[in-house]
Amino acid sequence: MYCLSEQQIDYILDDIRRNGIETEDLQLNLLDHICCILERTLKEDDDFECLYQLTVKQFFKNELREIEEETINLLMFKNYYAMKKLMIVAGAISAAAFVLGSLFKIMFWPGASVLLCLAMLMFAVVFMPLMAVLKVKEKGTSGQKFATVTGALVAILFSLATLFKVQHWPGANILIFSTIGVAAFLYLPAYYLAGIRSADKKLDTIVTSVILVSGIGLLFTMVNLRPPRLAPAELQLCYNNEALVRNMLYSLPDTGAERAKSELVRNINATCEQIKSVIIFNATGNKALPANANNPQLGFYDRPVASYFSDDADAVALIKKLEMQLTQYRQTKSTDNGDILNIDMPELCKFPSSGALCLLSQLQIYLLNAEREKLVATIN
Amino acid sequence: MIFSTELLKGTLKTIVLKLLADNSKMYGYEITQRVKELTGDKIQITEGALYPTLHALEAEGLLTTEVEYMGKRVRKYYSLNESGKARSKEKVSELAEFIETMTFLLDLKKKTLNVLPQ
Repeated sequence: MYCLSEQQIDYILDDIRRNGIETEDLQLNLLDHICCILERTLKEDDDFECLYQLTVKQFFKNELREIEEETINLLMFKNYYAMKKLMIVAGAISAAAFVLGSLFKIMFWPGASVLLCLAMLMFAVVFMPLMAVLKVKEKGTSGQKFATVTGALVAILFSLATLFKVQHWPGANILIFSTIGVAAFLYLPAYYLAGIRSADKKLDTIVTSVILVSGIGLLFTMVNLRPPRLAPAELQLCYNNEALVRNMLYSLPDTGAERAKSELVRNINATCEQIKSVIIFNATGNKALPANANNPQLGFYDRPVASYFSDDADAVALIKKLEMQLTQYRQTKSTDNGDILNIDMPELCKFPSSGALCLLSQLQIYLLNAEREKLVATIN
Repeated sequence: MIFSTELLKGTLKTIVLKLLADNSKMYGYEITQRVKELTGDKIQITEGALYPTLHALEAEGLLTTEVEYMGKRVRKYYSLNESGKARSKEKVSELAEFIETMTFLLDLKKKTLNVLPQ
């Protein structure tokens, strides 16, 4: 009996893996089997590779991978009923949680969001994937199967996008764009091409495709490509704050020894103006707000300041400077001034651009007002 | 004559279970060889059908496995556990009944009075 060398065994194992057998168990089974056959048939002066190829050819009709696929098929079939049952249960739970959650929401009862999130998770993580797997196992063309898989993917992405959006988790927008992208460029063409070929489904396919296009279009309409634009009425508040600050600044003493007393407040004021200018630049593209709030050209895009502050070294330095100046200011005061004097990076990063502007303007007004009161007190 | 795979498809599980019931433990190649021997080459189990079946039977919890390391090779021995033995009996008697019915249906034996409905 011929004895196979280690190199020959490695060669066989490599070849089995290369030909698509991925289950380790099956790899080892086939390896042993092939070795047994070769050890019986090989003679000393035979060509090993040639005989190996001949042997392995008897194992399949078209390619070796068939064995792996058949194995997976048989294993899947065993779980088929369990999967089907789980799908139905998950679907029922999901539907019930959607209905109950909606009822709770209408009635303002506690627990509505928990129920709705549970419903979305059940739908996206359990029901849809199982549905796709079971549908794909059924008979059908590969086109239909591709449409089923991409359709399930769209449903999963959409429900995850909704979940992320309502939970304010990062990445919701990426999920929404993925939903629209997969729906428009993968699912819709796949569905259309799979259905249009059979004569009896042609009309249904066209009608459903039109509905799908409309649905994707409606979803896309709801998506903001740019951050939300501040409404003119809200923008007016920013302008009013600016006017107040300017007005109060005029009333500070502007000469000699008197001016020196208010030097710190003037410096804080200047730092605030610089930070505000960074915010305004990021929101509008200009360094300062234009003179007129009703300017139709003015677009104030109300992004969260966190989205541009953290990467901006100048802004970080300015805010550090402001923090130091405020610490200095607090040391000169004995009274408790509350939170209005506690502005730092984390605090600012809680706000959208308009809110951060407002926060800084309020700080300026507070300090300038305190200076003016001091002045009035000395005059009296 | 070699029987077609179409014919063997429904009986492969039974064949494997019966062989394992008669032999304490067997590995894949041994099973194919034994079937060949016993049937005088009339039935040849293909590797493409045998291994998926073995894995399915294992997943159904009918088999216990034992691994023997031989240098770089690993040989996996299969044997029946208790539920496997019970299933083997069921499957064999089911197939026997099936064969009887087919014999009758295809009129391979002279019909006798007690099988023929009145």
